[in-house]
Order: sequence, then structure tokens, then C-alpha cells
Amino acid sequence: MTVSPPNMAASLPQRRSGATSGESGERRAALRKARLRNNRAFYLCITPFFILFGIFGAFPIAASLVISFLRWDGLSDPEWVGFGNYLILFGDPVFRKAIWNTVYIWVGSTVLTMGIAFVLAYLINEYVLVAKGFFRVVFLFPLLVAPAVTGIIASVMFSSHAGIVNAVLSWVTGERVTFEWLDSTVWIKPLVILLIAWRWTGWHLIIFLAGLQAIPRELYGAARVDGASERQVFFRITLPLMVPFILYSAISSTVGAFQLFDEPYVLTGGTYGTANSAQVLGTYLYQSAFQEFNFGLASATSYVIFALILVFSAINARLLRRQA
Amino acid sequence: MSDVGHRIPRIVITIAVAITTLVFVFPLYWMAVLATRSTAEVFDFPPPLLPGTALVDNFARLQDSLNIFRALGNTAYVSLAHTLLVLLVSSLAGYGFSRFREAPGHRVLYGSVLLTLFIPPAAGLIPWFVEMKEFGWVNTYWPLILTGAATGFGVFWMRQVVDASIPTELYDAARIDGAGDMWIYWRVVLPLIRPGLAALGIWSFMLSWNNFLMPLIILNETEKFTLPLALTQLNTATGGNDASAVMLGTTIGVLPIFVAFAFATRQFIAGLTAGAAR
Amino acid sequence: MQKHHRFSRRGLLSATASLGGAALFSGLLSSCGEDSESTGEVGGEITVWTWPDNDKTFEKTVPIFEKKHPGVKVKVQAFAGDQYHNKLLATLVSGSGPDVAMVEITNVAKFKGKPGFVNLAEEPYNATGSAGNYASFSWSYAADEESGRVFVLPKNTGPGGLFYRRDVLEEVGLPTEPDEVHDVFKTWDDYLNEGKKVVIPDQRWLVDTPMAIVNAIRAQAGISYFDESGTCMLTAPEMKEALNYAKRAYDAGLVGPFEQWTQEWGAAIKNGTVATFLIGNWFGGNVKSVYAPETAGKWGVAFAPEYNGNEAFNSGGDFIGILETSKNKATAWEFIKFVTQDSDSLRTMYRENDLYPAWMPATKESWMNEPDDFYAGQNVNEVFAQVSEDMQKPVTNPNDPEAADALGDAVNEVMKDKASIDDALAAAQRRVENKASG
Repeated sequence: MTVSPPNMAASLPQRRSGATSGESGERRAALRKARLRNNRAFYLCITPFFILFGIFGAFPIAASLVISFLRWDGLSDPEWVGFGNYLILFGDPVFRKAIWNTVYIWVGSTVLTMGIAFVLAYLINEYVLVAKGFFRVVFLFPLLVAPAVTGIIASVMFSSHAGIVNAVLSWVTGERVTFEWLDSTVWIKPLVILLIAWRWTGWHLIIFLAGLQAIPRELYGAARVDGASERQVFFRITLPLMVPFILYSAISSTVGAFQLFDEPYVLTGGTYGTANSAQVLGTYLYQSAFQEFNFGLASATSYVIFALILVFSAINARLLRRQA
Repeated sequence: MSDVGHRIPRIVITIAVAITTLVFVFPLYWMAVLATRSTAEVFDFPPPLLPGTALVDNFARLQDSLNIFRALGNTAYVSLAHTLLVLLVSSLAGYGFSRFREAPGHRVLYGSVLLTLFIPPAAGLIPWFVEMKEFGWVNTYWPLILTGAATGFGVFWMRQVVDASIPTELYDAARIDGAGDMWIYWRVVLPLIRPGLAALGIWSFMLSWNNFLMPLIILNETEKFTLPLALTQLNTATGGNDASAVMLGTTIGVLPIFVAFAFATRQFIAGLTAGAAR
Repeated sequence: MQKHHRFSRRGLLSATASLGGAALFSGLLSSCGEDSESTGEVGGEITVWTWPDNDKTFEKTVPIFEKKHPGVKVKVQAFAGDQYHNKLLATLVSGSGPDVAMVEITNVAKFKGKPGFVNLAEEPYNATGSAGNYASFSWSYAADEESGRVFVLPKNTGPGGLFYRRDVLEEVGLPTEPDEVHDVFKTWDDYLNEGKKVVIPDQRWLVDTPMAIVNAIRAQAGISYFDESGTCMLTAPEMKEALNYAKRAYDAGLVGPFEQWTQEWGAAIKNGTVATFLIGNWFGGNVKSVYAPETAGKWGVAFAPEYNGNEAFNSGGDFIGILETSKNKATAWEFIKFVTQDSDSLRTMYRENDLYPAWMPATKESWMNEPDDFYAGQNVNEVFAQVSEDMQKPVTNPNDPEAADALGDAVNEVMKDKASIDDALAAAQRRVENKASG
């Protein structure tokens, strides 16, 4: 359950000049024939993608919609319940909690991750003297570690008696701290956010660096000649030109947050935290599907997640465009 | 920006950024440290910060409860097969979409590829599982290899790469030489987009290597477990009581991906930035 | 089966036809039942699914079985506890599972009403014939009263008692012999009043979790999450009273800040920072082998405080059954009979892991009734055998897990003063009813 990655950022498909209008009819006809012949290769090339996507993506998702109107455990006879599952879903306080937790983690992790990544990218691009390439690489390290493994490491770091975090706190405060981070209803969500930020900062950093490097140096030079202050340069030139990159980062982060599963699952040992305090939409989906085997409810959940991703991505885009 | 007046703040900032990297790397370092410490030392107060001498003991205990090399082999097999498939499917489609822009249906088809980027894979989890059951693929590697092989993101990326690396004139020249379209893909396009393939390859490899939910649902025998699954299993099986063996397992588990990354770092970052910079 | 086909034609066809998946889907909807093989000869290989540490126990009992049935090979596969039952359900859905699988008591409701396990009440098993030999409360988990279907055999139960630290009680001037301890802690009010003596604020507590009190009282009152008619019982007066006792204990500082199964909980067992545990008999096995072998001789077991004159509660227990998809049901049947009835098997499980037999004839055996130095020479089975007899029959319901989860949240809210007992339980009841509707 990870965000899909980089670089769709700026680049919209560029038109290349095709056949121009001034050519003779004869040549045009020949071209059309060639085009038809070429098309056969086109369909051949894209067929594997569409077949595989049909089997492993489109079909399951379409069937999921149907199942969301059923009461079905995969074993007994399915029963048509109309919108019953959706009603149960919105009547379930745990689901409402999962939505709230997801939004909490989404906002927190997006702001934190993108904030750190942007500041770092800006500093590395504008100020850092040596080893720029090294910094870029090091921040990518956490991304290489499986989220499941990250969860294990974090649960050791934050464990109440063996954890290094409590050890540092003990050292700072001068008395033995044995705080139960992982069982706390208050701290478990910030911990999940921390894990996400740790993991994804490097990735956003790369995107932002690419964006910053794409800004022509001459623009800065020209602005300075015109007497613009450093701050004006940042807000008038850097930030507006970075909007497509920020937008891409934000949308990826949104898609990721609404599908979040690994970190809360592993961090809480599959309990989703005391009193469901780390229950998010992804874990709710897994729980109803593969713990309760309530396939109908799970499918309804997945469609709600789908809808929420679209809505929040749109909100993201709208907000950022207005700012720009 | 190279004024001498900026020199001092720039040094300070460089140091600050360097310190930040330490914070980011520390959990990994600490994981490796615990892997070399005895179980008792893990609970020492203050906790150990330097490597210890219990590596061999830990490894023996780890081997007792988990065949880590078997899990490594399983994961490598699944990830490599999956990655090769992703590269093939994505580059083929990317080539198709990049080259045959005037083909009827191009716009709609490409639009639908982009649309798939917004579909959460979790949305089809249940029918997908039932489908795998019908294929008789539960407790096999097929679902892990084939699912996600058709990635809209990969197609999008490869299209960008082909757009950027292959000038239109090259197609024209090749066609004048009488080369077929598939021959061009295999002999002309693939070699030229190698850096892009490497970038997408390491990315797919990493996602597959780290995949947790899908193996959790699909695999039924410990002998078939992939690493993330085997390691969480180990963590629960020891009741969270043997942190040093678990940390050794995770250390061994992340090493191969770091090695792969080290070999392809340049392409990886170049791949990301080449696409994003235009 | 007919329902499947009608449905698949009407509902799914349009959605799937364009993708060429109609045949696939109607196939998958109708593939649940399959011809069960007739019970043949005992022999060949069977696979058994369980969770740790049962795999280690099987390492000791399986050789006995293989010796009794030459030519049989039993392969044991264990999955981590938090994933086990999900994997088992997934495997029932996918129809590709093991021959034999264990089910833990809190997950019984998930499997009981569903197809997937062989009905042992039918020919050639006729398990109902031996029903009288299994602990009766335990049997009611395995057998469906309405349909008569028996989907598993009871393997172990977890008769509950009050485990106490002799050294701690002695230190604060409380009696240390089981009968006297029970006299002092006769009722829950006595327990809360007298129990204050062991408390040292923030250092030593009477009991580990509020849930331990709630669960014990709930069982003693004979309240299941649902009654026979399927009405959720979370707002029953007894339930409120149970929470009330837990809350009083919590507010008086009698309840420790522990989560069961954590490192800290293990440390508390070892250090004697929790004086008493309301828990199943198997707890002794865990203390002996995992948490605190060095505390031997410091433990005793008394009857739990009584609610309305009943001391009996159960915590934990395992069941074992045969999957429909098994190709070797004859051997599987021999194996689950062996596991749940054979006295060599039962003795080994009891000796090694304190797994209490659900098979009642075994509880009279001498190997179950020996004084144990770990408990300073007490024969703890005097407590547990009585509890097994006094246990009230539970009602199981498919929505039990949801109710357990909701109750857990409610207890947490009440303890932390986030809601009154009435409000928290009412909210939990609404949540369960909503989930069970539709």
C-alpha cells in the first residue's frame, strides 16, 4: 500500500509536430495507410497492459461494487442487502473513528513530510556547499526499508522499558521514564505520522529538488537586478513555479494516507491501538474483509475510500491552485 | 549566490542538514547495533549505542526460529520476476503511447491509463482474492508476481522516458531501413531507455520486496513466506521478547535492497529527476 | 446453491460480462460445497494448523500418535497468533487448507455457523456420542444447539481461579492458604476492600487489568455477549455491575497500568508487583516456563471472588476440527480423537504446558491431582476441577468478536472517566447492534 512514485509532476505530454497541412493529398493518403499499419503495433504494444490490468485491477474493482450490495462471507450464500452495508458503515462509530484518524494522519503526515522535505530541498539547493548528491541519497534510505520492518524497529525504539526514546527522556528529565507510547490513545497517531514522515521525506525531497533545479537561474538573476529581496524572490518566483511539484507531492501523499495499512498494523501488533486509536480506513477495510470476513461491508468500505481519495485530491488541487 | 558574504550561513546550514541526516539514519543504525547485542543488553539502561559481540549467538537463535535465507530467496524470486514483468509491460505500452500518437483511440486509452493512478489497489481486494482462489493461486507466488505488473504509473513513466530519449527522426530513419515496429522496440528503444528502465526497475523491485499485505493474505506456509511476513511472524512468535534476533533478521532483510539501490542510485535519482525536470 | 446461480445471473452478469469474467464469477460463487470423501483407511500424511506455542507441544505429542499409527505422518504448521484465525478463514474461503485446524475459544463464533469444517455429528464420526465426556460448557461452544452440528472437538479449557503471590499476601498480613484466601476474598466487595492492603501506590497493585474483573464477573453471572434470541447483552444490569466493580478498583488504585502479554506485564509477574491474577489455569504453565520460573513456590490458587455465590469463570480454551477440503479425513479424525481423548496426549499437554483437558475422565487421573512444588505443594486441580463443573453454559453468536471489541473500548472509556458506565455500555450496544443489522 504505497503511493505511486515520481515524476508525473510537471511533464504533460508534449505534442510533437506531426504531419503538417501543406502536403499533397497523395502523400496524406499514403500517410494514413502507414498510420493504419503502425496502429497494429500500437494495439499490440498496449494489449499486455490492458489485459493484465483488466484481470488484476479493473475486474476486481468492478466486482467489488456489486459485492458492496451483498451480505456475504465468502462461504455462505450471498444475500442482496441494497445499501445496507453503506448504512452500517456510517452508523458504525469505529468507522467514523477510522475516518477521523485517517484525516488526522493524512493532514499531519502531509504537512510534516512536505514541510521538512521542502525546507531541506531549498536549503540543499541554495545553501549546502558540499556533498549535495550524498544528502539526496541518504534521505532516501528509509524508503528502502519495508514499512512492516519500520514498524518493528519503531516498536522497539518506543517500547516502554527497552526503548531508546524513553531512555533519552529519562536522561533529560533525570528520572526513569517508562511511558507506554504504543498503548497510548493520544500518542499512537503522532507516532504513525512520524513513521510516514521518516519514510517519505526523501522521496518528496527528490521531487522538490528536481523542481527547484528546473527553475532557470536567469530568473533569479533578473529579479535581483530589479532589486527584489531574497524573500520576494522566494514568494514571487520560487513558490509559484513549484506549485505543480507541490501539487503532485500532495496528491501522492493523499492517495497514500487513505490507503495506509502497514504502519498502524505493525506498530500496534495488529490491534489497531487501544480503543481503536490507530484504526484507519485501510486497517478497517482489512479487518472487515479478512478478520470479520464481512466481504460486503469491506467492499463498501473500499468504495468509500475510493470516493474520499477523489474528493480530497480535488480539494488539494483546488487549494493549491488558489494559492498559486 | 556565491557571494563571500553568504559563506558563513552556508557552512552553518550545511552542518545543520548533515545533522538532520543523522536523525534520519539513526533508526537504521540502532537496528544494526541491537543485532549485535545480547537480549539482556537490549534492556540495559541506558541502552547500548555501539555494536556488541553477540552477533553469532543472535544468528544462531534467529536460525532456530526462522530460515532467513529461505525467506530471502523467496523474496528475491518474487521481486525479480515481478520487476521484469513490470519493465516489459510498461516499456511496451510506454513505447506504444509515445510513438503512435495519431492512432485511433490513443487519447481515450491513455486517459484511462492515467485514471488508474487514482484507483486504490485496495478497492478490489475481496474480488481479487476470490479470483486468485478460482485460479488456484492461493499459497502460490503467481498473485504476487502478476498483480501490479500492469501499473499505470509505470506506463506513464516509460512514456515520458521514451518521449525524452527517442527523437521522432529515429523512427523515420529506422522505418526507411525497413525495420518492423517490434524490432525497433527491441533493438532501438529498449537500449536507449536503459537508465529509465533501471529507475523503474529498482522502484518496482523495492515495492515488491517490501510488500506486506498481499503475501499476508495469499501465503499459507512458513516455507513460502517472504521477508516482511517472516519477520513480523518472528516478532510475534518470540512474543516481542527477542528484540536482538528480530533486529538481526530485519538487518539481513534490508541489506539486499540497499545493495541493489547502491548499484542503481544514479539511474534511480536520474530517472526521477529526468522525468520531473521537464 | 440455487441461490448462487440465480444471483450470479441477475446481479453480476452485467458488471462482469464486458470483462469476460462472468463464467469465472458464477463459478466462484458456487464452489463452496464439495463432495466429502468417505472415510477411508488411516494412513498417509495430514497437515495441522495451529499457533505458537502449540506447535512446540505438538512436537511432543505427534511422535506418540505416529507411533500408534505406523505409516502416518503429521505435519504441523504454526502461524503467529494475531494472524492465525484470519489465515484460517481465508483458507476456508479459498478451499486450499490443511486437514486439521485448531480454533481458539474467542474465535469460535467466527467459524461455528459457517461451512468449512466437517460436521462431526454425522456418520461416520458420530461425535455426539462422546459429548457427555467433554466439559459441558466447552461442548456448547463446539455444538450448535439448533442444528446439532458439531464443528470441532473441545481440546483444552481454561478454568479460571485467583492466582496469588503467597509472599506478597504474607507480607501484608493476609492469609496464604487457598481456603483462607477465598474466605478473605469471598465476594467482590471483600476483594476490593481487603485487597487494598497489598497496594503500594504506583508500585504494587492488586490485579493487572480492569478487564480481568469484568470478564470474571460476566462469566459468573452467566452473561454472554448475546442471549439465545440474539439480543445483545452489553447493557444487562450484571454487565453494569461488573464495570462498576472494575471502576471502583481502578479508582482505588488497585489496578495496574499493564496490558496483558507485554514485556512489562511479564516483568510484573516476575517481580510480584501484581499480587493476584484472575486468569485461566494455563497461566501457571506460562509463569513456570516463560515469565518467571524462579518464582516457584511463591504461588497459590484460590477460588475467585464470588458473584451471587458462583466462583466459576473460564478464560481461554482450544478446539480442534477437520476441514471439508481434507483429502485424508480418516487420519484427521483419528488425530483429533487422539489429541482430545487419548490419555498419553492429554497427560503430555498438561505436564508440559498446563493445558487443561476438556475430556472430563482425565481430570480424575492421578497425574492431574498431584501436589505441585511450584504452588508450595498445593494440588491446584482441586480448584480447577470444581470450576469446570460449575461453569455455566455460554451462548455463542457470530458477532461476539465485535461485542468483545466494543466492551473493551467501553471499559477503557469508563476507566479514563471519558463516559459514565451507562453511556459507555449503551454506546457499545448501539455499535454492536448496528454492525449486526442488515
